[in-house]
Amino acid sequence: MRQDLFQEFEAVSAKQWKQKIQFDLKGEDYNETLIFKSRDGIDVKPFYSAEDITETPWVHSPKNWEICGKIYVASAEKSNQNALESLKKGAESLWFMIPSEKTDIKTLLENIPLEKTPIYLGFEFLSEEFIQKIKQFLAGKKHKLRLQFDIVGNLARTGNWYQNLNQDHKNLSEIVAGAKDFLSVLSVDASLYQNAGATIPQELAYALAHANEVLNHFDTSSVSLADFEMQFLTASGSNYFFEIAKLRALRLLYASLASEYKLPESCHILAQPTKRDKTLYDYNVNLLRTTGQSMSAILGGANAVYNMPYDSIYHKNNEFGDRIARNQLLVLKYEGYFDKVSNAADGAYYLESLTLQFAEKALEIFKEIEQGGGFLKQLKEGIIQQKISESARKEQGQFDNGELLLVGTNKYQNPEDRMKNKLELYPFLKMNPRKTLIVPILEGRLSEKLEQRRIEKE
Amino acid sequence: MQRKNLQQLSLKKPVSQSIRGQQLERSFLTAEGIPLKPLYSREDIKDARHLNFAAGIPPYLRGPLSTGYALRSWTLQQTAGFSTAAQSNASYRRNLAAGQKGVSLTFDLPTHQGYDSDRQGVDKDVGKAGLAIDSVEDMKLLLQQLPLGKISVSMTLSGAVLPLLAFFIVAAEEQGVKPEQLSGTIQKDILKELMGCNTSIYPPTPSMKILSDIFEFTSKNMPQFKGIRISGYHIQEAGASCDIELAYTLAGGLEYIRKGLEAGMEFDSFAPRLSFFWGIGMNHFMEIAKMRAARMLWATLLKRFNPKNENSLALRAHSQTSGWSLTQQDPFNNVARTCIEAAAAVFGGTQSLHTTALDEAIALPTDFSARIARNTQLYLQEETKITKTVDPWAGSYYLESLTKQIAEKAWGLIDEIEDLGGMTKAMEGGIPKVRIEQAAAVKQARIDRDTDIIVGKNKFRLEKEEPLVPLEVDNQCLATQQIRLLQRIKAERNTEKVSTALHALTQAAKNSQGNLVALAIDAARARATLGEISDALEEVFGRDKA
Repeated sequence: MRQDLFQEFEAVSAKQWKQKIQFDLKGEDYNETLIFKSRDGIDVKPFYSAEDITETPWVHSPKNWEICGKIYVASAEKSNQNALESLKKGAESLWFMIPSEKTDIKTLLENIPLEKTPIYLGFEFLSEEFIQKIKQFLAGKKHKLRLQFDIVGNLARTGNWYQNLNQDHKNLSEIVAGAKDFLSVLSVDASLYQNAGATIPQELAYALAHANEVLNHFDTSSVSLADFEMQFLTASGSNYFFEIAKLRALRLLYASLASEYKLPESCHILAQPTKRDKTLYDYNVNLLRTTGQSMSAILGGANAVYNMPYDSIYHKNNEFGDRIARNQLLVLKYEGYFDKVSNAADGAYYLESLTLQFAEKALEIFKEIEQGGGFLKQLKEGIIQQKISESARKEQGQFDNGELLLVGTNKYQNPEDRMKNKLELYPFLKMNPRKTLIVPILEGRLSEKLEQRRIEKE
Repeated sequence: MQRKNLQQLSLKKPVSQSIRGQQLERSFLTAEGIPLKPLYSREDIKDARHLNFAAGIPPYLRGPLSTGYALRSWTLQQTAGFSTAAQSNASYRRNLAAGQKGVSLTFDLPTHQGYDSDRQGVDKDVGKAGLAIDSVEDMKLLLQQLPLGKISVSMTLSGAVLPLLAFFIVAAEEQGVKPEQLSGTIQKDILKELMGCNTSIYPPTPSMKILSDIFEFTSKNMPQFKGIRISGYHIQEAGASCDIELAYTLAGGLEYIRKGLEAGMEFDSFAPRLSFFWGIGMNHFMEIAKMRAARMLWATLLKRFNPKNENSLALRAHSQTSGWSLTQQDPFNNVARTCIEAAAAVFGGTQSLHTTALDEAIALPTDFSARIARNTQLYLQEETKITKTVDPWAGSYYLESLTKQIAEKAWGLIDEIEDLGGMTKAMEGGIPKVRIEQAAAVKQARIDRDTDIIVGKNKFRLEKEEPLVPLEVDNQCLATQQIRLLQRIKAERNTEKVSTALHALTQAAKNSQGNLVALAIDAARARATLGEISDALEEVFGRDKA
């Protein structure tokens, strides 16, 4: 092999490159034509080079990522069958959403190889008693169970505590006290902020401030510190590289915060695609969106990725949708070799620059929230909701005026597309007016209004 | 409890980055023989020389244009899947209306071989896997009402390049579009040509003469026309790994450059008229690395010719997502595959892109599958913001390490070809063929041994496959239609004019005087058929027996 390959060419400095661009622009303005001003407050430059990297923060990247199957537990028996089927077809971990305290945990987890299958349990209720049942079931068994308790997340999403402020916190303390039986018991649902329209720095800051509420609540000296692990549930949006950087920034931010509490610095990230840009019309584009968004999640260093079916907004759960969604991840893992290297993003000029910028911007917002009395206080005052609405309104405006495009929906429509008779589920935001303690944060898709008008015209 | 004051919280500083136990873990060896390590660090690229190259400046590591896609995105170029000119035309028009910027023409086997549809024994192949074109009238039907001055037309041509190019020019002319307004490319499948598949017509030397006449004609008369595109796609589709595809495609390009110079062409007007055509497979980062390495290697190879204009060193590329990687089994899995591959092509900096439809492994795409394929590009272009910065993965320890390694591997293979006296000589000795076949066998063995898993094929299989309904070609009816049109043309044309034009072509071939493209255009105007034009040259050149 020739050792002097490429020696006839000289290195190019950022300055020389910019000069060449200015020459190529033939008089057009550099900033005007080439700087992309994103809604996330970052100006993207036409090129990044080694000169953009001053220091690269150390971002922990998990060795591998799991393909996660998500199952809503309407019936323990059926869900158990679904779970076993899903594992057979390539899922590596399972995420059960449990709506009822009556669910029989033994039936649900029957025959699932607990010692090697990471399992996440999310709940629509808060019950110390239910946890005792799980513990009894697990007694003497090796397992990889994580519970997802998130009282602040529940408040933000529903507007109410499970019971009330004191009882919720009391339950939380008990859960945390018994945490040693599980890999982890606490989660922060950051996907809510993303799906409601927050910008990336907001989402990161809220996730961190949300986590800080929890960390603040209990006396960290009482917890077994060595294996404390916080889970973050995230949603990956449409901006491919921003979303990779987002997860890296989240790890950096959490590590910085955790070290203040002398807690382990790594967190566990369970990622899924956003709902925000999913569309009813030309629904196959959703397959493309979820492919790109899953790639972002993997390359950003998620521990587990769940992929939503392309038809989840209008079809009931079905075998085809589930299978293709899982296969997208299998294809990435096995055929695309997305499981071979765990830190593809490290060193990339653009991504390293974005990661640091996001982390810095989020840290600033985080400090403002803390200054204002903390996340919970600002939620109660409606400040967080207001900030998210502002961002969401701005994004909606961009969609409405065609600055933000969804293929097949506000551009490149297929005029023959008909959806009216295909709806098994109501695909729009349901308004069920209910008395709430605080204003709940609502998730919303960008294309809802447009789709409603289109359906009416069918 | 007292709330913790976090106003002084700062981001964690980098911990001294020891290589975290990565040596303890096993690497995964790719089909190229490049190990993929679980973790990469600065250490892995400490002796790479290429890291500080830019875009728009030789050796063009980060792209041929200084701003990548920030000013102009890549061109969507799709092949339409219909076998008759009229059906294809309707499909082109729909696709252009739906956001496509260029069309790509693929022809059936008889057309490639220079045979008219009424020739004995070819009827079974008429309209199969491509368009049947017999005369300028077919080309006119194919292109009617398309804004030829505004879109880019690419044609995959091997044997019958002269008549088809002539038909294209005349069809445009009769639509009122002058040659200087036409933009597009001729795609050359060097694998077929150099490996002696059955689509070439003439022996190597006259084939080169035709090519240099095309260069001469297009550089004088068709400044927008990008010239010749050399295909690595077909090498990858034959089962070759990325390093082999890269090396042999560039070596083929180098051969064209030499032949062009021998034919008296001037380097700086000629080199920019060559471009490349990559197949993009599933090894995402390897493909990105391949495209980046390709630009540096091409610039290095051409620098020896002492160009007057440094732009002559820039490699421009068209890409197509792999058909090899698609499966008939559970075909909707192909949507994700194509999306991952298309993203790699874009991160690698392609100038235009064809995304393969999910059923192309089985048949010609339907309107439904073509829409998803096209939307794959529109999604990447419009929704992901990946066009905002050039070569966005640059600096990644992993990607830069791959870029360095694949460049070195390919350079080794190019060296081997050069030692044998260049691509044509090497092909005669059979070395490239052996290397490609070996690589294909290795790739298959990796799947058979489950080293490589293909979802739905050797693992995660469906219990029961639901067949997709492929687009059927009623080829008997098609052949009859073509033959009827040929008869009409032959009845209506001025026979004397035709034979004069054809005679001029034969004479020019004999005496090596006059430009064959210009003469083929005259013949096309007179309504000489594809078979007649091909035969007029075959009289002198003979037919390649390979």
